Amino acid sequence: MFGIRASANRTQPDGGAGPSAPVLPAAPTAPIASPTLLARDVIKRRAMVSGRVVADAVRCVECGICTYNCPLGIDVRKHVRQAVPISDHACLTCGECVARCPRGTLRFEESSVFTVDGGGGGKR
Amino acid sequence: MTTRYLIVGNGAAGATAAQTIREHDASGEIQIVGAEKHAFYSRPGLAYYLTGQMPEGGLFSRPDKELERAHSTRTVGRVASVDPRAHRAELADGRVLRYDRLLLGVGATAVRPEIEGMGLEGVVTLDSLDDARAILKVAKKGRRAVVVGGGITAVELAEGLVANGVTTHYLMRGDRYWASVLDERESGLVEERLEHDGVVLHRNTELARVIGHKHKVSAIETKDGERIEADILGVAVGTQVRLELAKGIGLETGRGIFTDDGLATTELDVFAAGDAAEVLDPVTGRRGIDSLWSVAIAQGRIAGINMAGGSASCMPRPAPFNVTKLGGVTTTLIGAVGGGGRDGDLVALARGDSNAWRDGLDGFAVASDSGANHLRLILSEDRILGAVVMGDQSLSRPLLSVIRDRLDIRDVRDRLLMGQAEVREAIATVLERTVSYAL
Repeated sequence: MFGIRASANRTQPDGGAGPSAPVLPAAPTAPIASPTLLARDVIKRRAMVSGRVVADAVRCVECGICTYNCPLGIDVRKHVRQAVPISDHACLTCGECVARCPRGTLRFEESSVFTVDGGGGGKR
Repeated sequence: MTTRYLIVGNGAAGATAAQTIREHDASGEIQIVGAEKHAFYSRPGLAYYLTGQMPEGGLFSRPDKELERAHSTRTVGRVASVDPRAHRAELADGRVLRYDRLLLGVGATAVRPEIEGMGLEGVVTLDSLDDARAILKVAKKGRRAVVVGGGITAVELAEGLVANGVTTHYLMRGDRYWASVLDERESGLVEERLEHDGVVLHRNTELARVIGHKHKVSAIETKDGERIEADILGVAVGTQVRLELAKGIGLETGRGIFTDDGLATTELDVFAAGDAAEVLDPVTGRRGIDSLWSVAIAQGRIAGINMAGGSASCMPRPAPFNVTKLGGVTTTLIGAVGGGGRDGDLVALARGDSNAWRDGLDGFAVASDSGANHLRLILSEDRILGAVVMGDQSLSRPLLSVIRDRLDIRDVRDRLLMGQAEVREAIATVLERTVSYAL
């Protein structure tokens, strides 16, 4: 429950001052939540170094939030519509577009540098 | 001889058709006529423009220069009449356009219920960019708003108004939100978020009339006689297809413009696509109508191919699919998900809606929660008929494949009845059996 809350906050960085403060990963009072949080963090870090952003074009409605929020000014939306891999450009995999897309169009996919261990969601 | 293509409507269906025609006919003359002066923009993106997540300029996803590069043109105007025998269209300003193939991608427009005061200044709907601009303008001055209606658009209006600092009341005629598509738990999740964001919910409350002062909205009155002061009334009770032109041509129509599975209407060389098309499924004999971006894009492509002389079909109708934010909760609806309840808030199909979602009530629903995430599957004996995925979206993509491809789930059915962890593994088993697919 705790872990999911924290990740929900992370996907909405523009949500303003929410009622709950950021939860520290190693909160000793939440023995059930901690492994989940840590696992999520590990997945995130791994994705950032080894991943690339891929799109599921059928979900895209061309709203442009991805493009608007890209710190490098990559026209992510255009890449999605024209089915050009975003990794072709100087993408930092910072995750801004992945986190902000309101339709879940974008996601990290691990590149072949690391072997896929059964899913982007990691092992349970 | 070059073929002249005339496309009425610069929405998702029309723009996609123009692009597809060019891919199949290098020399044809392609002309889009749209009533709006704006270049192509993302209609679903208007919700994020209202909340301030997006500047207006970012919505224009297909600039006119893309059309120019494809040697196609866009004309601003309203098509007043079409003579299908002479292959001739006339604009409201008298200009005459000749065509060999015509596409009606005219879309749908918000219904305004016949209630006293609907014509007052401050009554707003959300169809177009101009509507969104008007809403932001009144929201700047207005302090209090009431929203009536249902589906995605009502929530978009409420969230947009609240984000602009407007005190917003949302009136629901029933006891919960979007009861015909969502189940009680799902409605509850959306309602919780709306309340958290500051929207005041009124259940079992029906709008009776709008009270005006100097031609402007000043309050509304409910059927119970309650009065709520308001400067803005947001209306999202459903949409209706713009049928005037089709009726003028003499096309067969119902709720939408009747087409066959190749999107041809009942008149030679006239096609329809997108929100406006009511498509016949030749196998079931039933007609379907969707108000979905993904369907409009797919139909634009099919109409484009057929207009250029190809042969493509919309059938079998893919499981309707939409993903949206409902009060901040990312929600994917796939296939037949019917929530079981009646929905008095909508008098017609809403935007982002599909009539097929209300099917499948004979399926067996199994729901599971994991923290803030919610998953509901509608199962038959051997298939998953539909799914609602709220919150974490990692299951929605694989589920879309399983539902669309009608994959057999008999051997994992028992596991689908357990929690989300089991569902994840069961779905992976089903997909691994058919294609190599990384969940």
